Amino acid sequence: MALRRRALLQAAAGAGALTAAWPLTHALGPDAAYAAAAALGASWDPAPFTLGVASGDPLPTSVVLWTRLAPDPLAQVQPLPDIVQVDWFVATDAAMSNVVASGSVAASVLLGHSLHVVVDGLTPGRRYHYRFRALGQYSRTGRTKTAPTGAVNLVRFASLNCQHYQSGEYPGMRDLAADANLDFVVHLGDYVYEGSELGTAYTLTDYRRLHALYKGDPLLRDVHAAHPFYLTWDDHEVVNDYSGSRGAATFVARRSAAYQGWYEHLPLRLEGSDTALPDPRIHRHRRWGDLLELVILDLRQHRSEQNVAGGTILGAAQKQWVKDRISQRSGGWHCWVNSIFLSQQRNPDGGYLFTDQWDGFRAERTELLTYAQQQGIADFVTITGDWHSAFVQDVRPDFDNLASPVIGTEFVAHSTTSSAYSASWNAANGPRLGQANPHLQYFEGNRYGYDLYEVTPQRWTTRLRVVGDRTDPNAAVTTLTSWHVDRGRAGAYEDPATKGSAAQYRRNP
Amino acid sequence: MQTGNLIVNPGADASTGGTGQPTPVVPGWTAIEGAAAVITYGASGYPTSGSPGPADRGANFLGGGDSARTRLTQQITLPMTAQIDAGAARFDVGGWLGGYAAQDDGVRLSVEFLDAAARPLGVVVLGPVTATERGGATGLLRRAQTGTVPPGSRTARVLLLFTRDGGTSNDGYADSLWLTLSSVGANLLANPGGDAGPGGTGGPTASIPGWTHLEGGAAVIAYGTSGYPTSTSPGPADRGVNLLGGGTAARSRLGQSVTLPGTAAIDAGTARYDVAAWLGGYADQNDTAQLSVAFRNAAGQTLATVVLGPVTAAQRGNTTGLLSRTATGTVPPLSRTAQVELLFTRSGGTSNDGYADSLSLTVTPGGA
Repeated sequence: MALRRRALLQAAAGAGALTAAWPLTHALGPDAAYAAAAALGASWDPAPFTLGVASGDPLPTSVVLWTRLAPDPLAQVQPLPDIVQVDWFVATDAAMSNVVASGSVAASVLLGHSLHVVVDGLTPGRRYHYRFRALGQYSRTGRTKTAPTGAVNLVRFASLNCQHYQSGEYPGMRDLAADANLDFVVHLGDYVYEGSELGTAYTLTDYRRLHALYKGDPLLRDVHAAHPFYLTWDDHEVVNDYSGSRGAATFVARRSAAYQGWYEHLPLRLEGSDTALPDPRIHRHRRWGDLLELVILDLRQHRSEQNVAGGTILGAAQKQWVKDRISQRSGGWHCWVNSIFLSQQRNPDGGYLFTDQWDGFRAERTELLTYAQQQGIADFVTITGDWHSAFVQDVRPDFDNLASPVIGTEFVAHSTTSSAYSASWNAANGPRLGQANPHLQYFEGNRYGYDLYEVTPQRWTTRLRVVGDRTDPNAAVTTLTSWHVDRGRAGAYEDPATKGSAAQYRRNP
Repeated sequence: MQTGNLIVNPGADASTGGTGQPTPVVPGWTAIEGAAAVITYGASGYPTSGSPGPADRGANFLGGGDSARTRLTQQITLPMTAQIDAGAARFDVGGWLGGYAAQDDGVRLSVEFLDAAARPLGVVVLGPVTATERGGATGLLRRAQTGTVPPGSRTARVLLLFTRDGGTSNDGYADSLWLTLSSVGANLLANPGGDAGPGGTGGPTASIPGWTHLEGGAAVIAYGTSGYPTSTSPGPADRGVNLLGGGTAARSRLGQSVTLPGTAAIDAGTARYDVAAWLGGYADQNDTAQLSVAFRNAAGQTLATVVLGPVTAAQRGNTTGLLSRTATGTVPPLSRTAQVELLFTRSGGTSNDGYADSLSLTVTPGGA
């Protein structure tokens, strides 16, 4: 019988077996790995497309289609020849009867038999369906959408982050997969965690098995099949709190393996003259017609150590690129896809709460936000993951100076499953955080789900969608509260209809 | 056919070496970050001619200079594109990578195979070699990988990433790099000699990577197991550590299905197949192994079958071991897959001592 993941974790802890049994030992053999995964409810699509399908990084006339052949998903070595020919098809209908693009490509063992098919020549703002064929089998059929051009009156998208596998189920993804009017999903990072039922990941084989384990969740596969993704990453795709510029050979080897494993399992479009596997360039700029531009940041690969003179979270090249995006911004909503807390977060007991966040790179943050102010930035929203709790806060060039203007809003989303602080910690510290951080408008932890964004030319709305029970894959999903930002006016306000919802801190109750 | 080394200036011997200072220009290489150093073996504080490293080390090696990160690259236009596109080109890539004493500076060698649009179809990552792997000794260790060049590849982007773990000198070292291609037909069989998993002592092996048990229970057996062929018994030179055997059932059968590359040449009737196997048995017993390859069309209908073996005890001179068997011919047009089956048959007793190793199926477009 497949146990619910959260229930199993609690049972292990209750039995005092947590440290002995969790995570299971490194180099778990195939039979033991499958047994552990099955006990947690993992299952896969039919071989060889066990890990499902996905699409990503839509442009007006192009999307990336992804799959990976893994007949034996948790095996050390896949039972496949070096090269497997794979056919792909794109159609305008779910029945795949009106195929408008197709081709055949070689899946190589050198990339784990993964495919990143760049389909060009599509129509802007249109939904498509796609599937693959290999070894005599068809994959499931996925659905995707190209970015529109010109005037756009509405974009609806969602963000996911921090989906620690053994901490819970993914009922929010069921909700998203069923949302036929969603345009795309943004992943803010911590897609996998380096420690799992299979042990701690160090090598490419480890990271491949780790991603294959996560893809053993049918709801994750469903949401990938339902919508295109834009992607960034945070730290746990490699290891907790790492700085990508760290030069030790031991770390470089691990980072290389993790980055390659991440690329092999996600629909990333490779671009830029200075990108080379296994280290893909992932920061990029995307537009959804004239309504929205996404500035997708990479806050891990190029960062220095934190709290050092001249420290950088972006790296010199990306910092200049962000400035260029600010100075050359379109007239639409300007949204940073930001894996980790941008705003200042003073510790009520002194100092900063976490300097792995932008708080560890304060001079660079001040430089950028001041530059944004000087450039007259408007309609500026940042969407953020990592913290496992929801925050809404004003963005100022100088967070310590209340005379400094509000130039934007940061929405920090609940995690998908990764654990928040305890309810008692949140209740006790919510008000203290509010007192120490005058830009903080709202804080609520101990809930799990995703953020839904509904954006029009007049208003940005963020809905905090939360699941009734993260241990139940069938849990209901509801809107806890909604926040709005009006076009041309910096600062968010809570929807009066949901203002009475529970919160551990609300500046304007 | 085999190419020469496709990497230009692969050991930094095309120019004069220095004593560790950054070298603005390294012939054949483009610096995209930091500045590398061409260093003479024996320069003070660096590897010497006697340090662990390549035999063909020449006078110089490459170092990371004094940047925290240094990257050198070169782009290589690949030859043998017809063989590459047929999945029939093998690559051999490697180099000697190292560092200084107990410091964990290092260098990583990566080679991407890029298509005509410069998109990666495959990547090989070697190193970095850690201080632990070097045993805390200054020097360079060999790292290498072989495989099939992904069809569609047109260029190879070679990149060296030198990283510094601390201090001021970037002590990642690289020398004697290579990338060669050869047109040896790519073996289309997965796990063709039972070496993709651990070997046992003759009992049935529950799961054999790449193969499906169709009947009985075949075994992966480690050479040298008591009562079985040894590393010196008659058999293949590339035998690895394991062979395949029949286990304990009267009949054991393994199968795998292969998707055939080069369908255009197949349909034109110009694709050649080469099937090879080493097949054998035990002493004067007539237990046998037989390999069959059935070429099938897209509908799964068999168009032709090739059978190798069985090899009898008399053919083996009643000696425990394996003999080579091969067949070649034209791949039937419209073939899309090959169903490969290995049948072990016991003539008596309890152990099924049919043996097989080093199986191969290649398809060469234009070779028929």
